[in-house]
Amino acid sequence: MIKQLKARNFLIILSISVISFIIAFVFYVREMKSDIEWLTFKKAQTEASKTGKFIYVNIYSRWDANSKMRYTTLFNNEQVTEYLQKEFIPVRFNLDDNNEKAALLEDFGISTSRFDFVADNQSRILSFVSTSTSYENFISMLENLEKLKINKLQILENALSQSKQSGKNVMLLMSNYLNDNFFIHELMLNDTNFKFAMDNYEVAVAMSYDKKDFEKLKFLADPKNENDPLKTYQPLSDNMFTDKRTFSTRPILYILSPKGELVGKFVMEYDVLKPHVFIEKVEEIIKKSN
Amino acid sequence: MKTQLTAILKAEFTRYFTLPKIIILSVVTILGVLVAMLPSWLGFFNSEAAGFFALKDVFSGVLKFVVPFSIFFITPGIIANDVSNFWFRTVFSRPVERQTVLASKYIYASLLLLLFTIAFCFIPLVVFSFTAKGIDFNLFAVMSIWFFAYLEGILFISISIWFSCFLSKFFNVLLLAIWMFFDSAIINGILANFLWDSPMLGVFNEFFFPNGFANAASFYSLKDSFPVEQFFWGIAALTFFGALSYLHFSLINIDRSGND
Repeated sequence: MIKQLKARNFLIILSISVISFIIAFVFYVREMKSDIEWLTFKKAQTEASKTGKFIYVNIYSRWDANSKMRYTTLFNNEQVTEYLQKEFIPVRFNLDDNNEKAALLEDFGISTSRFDFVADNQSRILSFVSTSTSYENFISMLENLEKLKINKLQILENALSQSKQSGKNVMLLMSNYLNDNFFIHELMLNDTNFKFAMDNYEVAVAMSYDKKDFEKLKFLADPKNENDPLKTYQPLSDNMFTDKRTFSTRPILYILSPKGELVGKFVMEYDVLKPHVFIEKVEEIIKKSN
Repeated sequence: MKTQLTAILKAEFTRYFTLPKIIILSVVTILGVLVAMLPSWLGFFNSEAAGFFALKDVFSGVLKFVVPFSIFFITPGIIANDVSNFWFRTVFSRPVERQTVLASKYIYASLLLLLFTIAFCFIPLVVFSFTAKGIDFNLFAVMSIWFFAYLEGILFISISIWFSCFLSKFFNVLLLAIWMFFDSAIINGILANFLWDSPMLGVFNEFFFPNGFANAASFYSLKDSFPVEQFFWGIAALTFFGALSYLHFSLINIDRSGND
């Protein structure tokens, strides 16, 4: 039966297979390249506090298919390179390097290259970034994230020291998970809410999932409430899909006196986004405290 | 050889296209068209979400589903059935070369796949683009994604033909389906979520199933440039399984029936 085999044809097909395999393999093992000037995290922190820009953190692993895909579809694209370089401070952690892996875990509690993320100028994670997308969508996602830069919202220490000078109370907007950042942004995008907050309070934002912020805020934990996010520190999970907070948390608003004592607080449910509800709720807790 | 090939192909299509099959194909196409019109009827294009809609991503997603399912309908027992019902013995009683018959199997399955993707993907997509207000229809991008997905389908055909050279009845597509299931559920699910940082398993994950053309289609839908690496992985796999099917088809004993 083997006589039926045309050996020449068989060898031609097999040779095409071998040649294609070699070509593909050469592409597979080559180093991932990008024109983006990735900084070290320490340099980026200094740069971010100077410029106020957000930090884009890329997590890279040589053999991870997601990492490879990011480089081939996004980071060697001219528009992405230009945009990231201009509007963000790009940082890269190489997970194949044990020191960098340890640094990433220590700074952010993250050890996966499954996603990249954007951190604010205080190095607090604002959002994970989906990179399995076209470069146009990627840029538009980053543009949306950039809007989270709400002018004049400050860190708690600055708000408290300003408060001592101005005599105004501090309004602390505390985000307990990444989606809360978008809620706070939405709330403050309303001009009336923003003006009310800025005219009457020293406004600050903090994140309970950020270790540094948590340490500063844990004195506000309610001892009677077992579910208070300030009771025990919960770092961000490596897997956002299994993190219970993904769909269950709400941001909390605290009013603090210039001495840093708690005046009142409330959990910000979705109704706070309706006209006037935010202002009414804040005034209500001030009345109660009086 | 050309005349022989045309004659065998004619016979293949006559055997395949029975009236019930033509009716089923037409009904499914009409259903596909109706589903494609749903977003317009439900007012999706007036919503804000329409701004984030990418036609090529949807097309690529639909093809990922339609191509393997078409293969499961086209290729069960593609070789084994013809051995067991002595069709090959009839064909080879004439001076026909085996490679001509194998080529006819490839062409027949590829043309059917083309017909299925036109009926279940392209026609609904064209209807969808007519009903979708303000959605950009880039014909070149759509055709490129279709091209890679179609090549992936031909790769599945060659694997299926190879399996059918030594597995009886529909077990060729069953094995292919199990292989695909392991790739998408076990490998992508478990390895990617729990053992993603192991370089060895990362490489194993990429080579467990020949996904070159499928990755090329996804790559193209994300970045409008030619996916060289993925394309060559696809060609390497297609020709490798093509060579295996060529070798095994030459070794089949056509005088054995399925009941042996």
